[in-house]
Amino acid sequence: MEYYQHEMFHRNAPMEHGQSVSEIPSCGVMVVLHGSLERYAPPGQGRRMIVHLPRGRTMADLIDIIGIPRQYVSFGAVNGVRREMNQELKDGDEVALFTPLSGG
Amino acid sequence: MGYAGKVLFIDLTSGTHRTEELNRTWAQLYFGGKGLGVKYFVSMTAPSIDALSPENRVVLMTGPLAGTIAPCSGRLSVTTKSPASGTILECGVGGTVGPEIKFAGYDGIIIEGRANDPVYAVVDDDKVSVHPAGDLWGRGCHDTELMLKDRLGEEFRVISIGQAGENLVPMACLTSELYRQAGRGGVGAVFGSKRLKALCIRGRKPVRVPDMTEFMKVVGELMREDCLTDTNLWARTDGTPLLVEASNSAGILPTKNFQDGVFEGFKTINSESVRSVRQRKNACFACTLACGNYVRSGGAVVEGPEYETLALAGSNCGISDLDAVIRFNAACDDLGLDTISTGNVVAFAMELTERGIHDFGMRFGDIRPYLEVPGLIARREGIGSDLAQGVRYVAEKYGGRNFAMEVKGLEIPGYEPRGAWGMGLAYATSDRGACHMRAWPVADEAYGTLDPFTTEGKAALVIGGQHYNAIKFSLIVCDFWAISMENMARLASAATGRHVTSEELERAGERIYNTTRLFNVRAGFRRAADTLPDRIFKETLKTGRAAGRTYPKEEFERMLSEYYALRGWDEEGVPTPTKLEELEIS
Ligand code: SF4
Repeated sequence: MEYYQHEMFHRNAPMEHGQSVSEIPSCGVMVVLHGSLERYAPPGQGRRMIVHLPRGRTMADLIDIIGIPRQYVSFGAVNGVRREMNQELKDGDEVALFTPLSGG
Repeated sequence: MGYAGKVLFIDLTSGTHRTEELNRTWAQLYFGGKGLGVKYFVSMTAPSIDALSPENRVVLMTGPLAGTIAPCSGRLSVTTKSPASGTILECGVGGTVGPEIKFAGYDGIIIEGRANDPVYAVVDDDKVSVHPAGDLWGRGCHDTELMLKDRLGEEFRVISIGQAGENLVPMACLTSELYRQAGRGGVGAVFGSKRLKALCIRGRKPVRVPDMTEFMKVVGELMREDCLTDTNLWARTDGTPLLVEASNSAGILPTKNFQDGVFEGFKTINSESVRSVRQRKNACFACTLACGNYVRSGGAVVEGPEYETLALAGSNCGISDLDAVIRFNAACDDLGLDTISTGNVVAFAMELTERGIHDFGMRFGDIRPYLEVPGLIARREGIGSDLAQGVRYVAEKYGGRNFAMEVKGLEIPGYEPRGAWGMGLAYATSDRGACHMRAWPVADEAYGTLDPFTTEGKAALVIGGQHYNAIKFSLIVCDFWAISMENMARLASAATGRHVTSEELERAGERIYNTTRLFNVRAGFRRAADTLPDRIFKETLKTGRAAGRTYPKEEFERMLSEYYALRGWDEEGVPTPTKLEELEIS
């Protein structure tokens, strides 16, 4: 499993000058980008990555932080169960995001 | 334009053939593919016939886009009467066989009658011939296709049946290009009843469109703006195995004969696992999405396994071993068996065994007997002689009617209706029994933003989906391109040279749906058949999003009445004369 601190984290969770990443109250979630969403992962990353978020952020916030246009996410699952977009994320959660699906 | 202008009829009883001018009035009203195939079929065939009698026909119909560079247009529609359900049966097969029919100069091929001895038919442009197939009879689809290509030439496209079709198994399919199937409802058995082992086609004629510059412009724009987007590219990155995890998360992955909607072993049969054994991608003719996955695993090679196989022959049988599912898939492809129905009947036998109702010698998760069943079914040997008849037959013979997961005799595909109530209506009102390809409300319910646990608004949703898919499969645009009606109208206009509006397409979709319904009504189907197995209404799922919820039968019946009313059908589900007149259906 590869670990990666998403660059967007730094943009979305401003740090105090001189503060290190580890001092921010944050949680790390494993994100799995299914289908073509994998292209929103940093190059060479595959479809799994760890994103650190400030505490209290939701699945919707996570999608914005990664930078996926919302119309391309049909739903997300936390720890294997589909959840609403306002689901608050906790440290160690695994979040799977899916594109719209058609046919079958 | 867009059309070849001819339909080929092959009469196997006399071994003769003839061509007719394409019926342009029908082409205007029904466009092609499903709609036109169904129109030809119902105009020639009495609904009361025995599906395995020489009076049944098989109509292979292309669409106006077949053979052009329009993406996702390479599939072929096949219409007959189903030996599994007794309804009309329309199914699709990918690959290149559809465009090849167009290149040979035909919009469609209609197969009639019955040969005395096994035969294969060859369509080589204008030359049509029928040959003895004694040396092919008894062989699997793979051998058959490769032997015919050796004999005739590599460029021939072959559509064939395996041992299951020869033995009239009602879950027998057609196979083309080794791994692509017209899967459901027993069209392979209809070929078998006609003693037609294979149809081989080669064409060298051009396909014309009215205005090449305009056509290229429309196709180019749609390809960029609508097709190759994040909405559809899951087909390329993953293909249908992606649905395993999506369905499991949404609690609708059929598990252990629909006893649950979440499978603990899903991770070993999900898309990531399939990708780990994938050798390369594959596409139908002119497709830019290329949903096909060639995999090699466990000593077997398949293009697949598709979601339906992973669900019905995987989680639904309690099998989490991907190698085993791939081997099961490869066996079914070669024997010419529908993996949805075969997976279902295995799961049903496993539950009957576990409950002590009848001992079929296999329990959920038992790999060894599971891998033996396809061969037994195709040859109708041992337990295979019962299982070959499908879930409904087995339930009538041994019991377990409440959990016999079928509608009108066709086994249920991979979406649990208790976790998507509209999907239940889609199964109940599909024109060929439990089918996921007539309307797919799960996209909005289980995977989208609609409440899955209500019947409110679902009748209209299902009707909209049924019309959309009916016209989509008539123009022949693959299911996996989520194209809008407006853009379909642009494609239709560019292919036919007349101004086609989305309203016209919507109406044609309704016309097609009513045409199939009328055939089924005349074959004796009424409201009582538009239902779901008792398990759906009487038992709740244990895990996942739908856990503990009941799907009340009264709610379902209310939704069904609303559906009939919105359609202009009476309380028994019969289209009213006014509706038929409005849609120009005779
Ligand atoms: S998306 Fe798949 S099934 Fe559809 S046309 Fe393309 S390759 Fe064929």
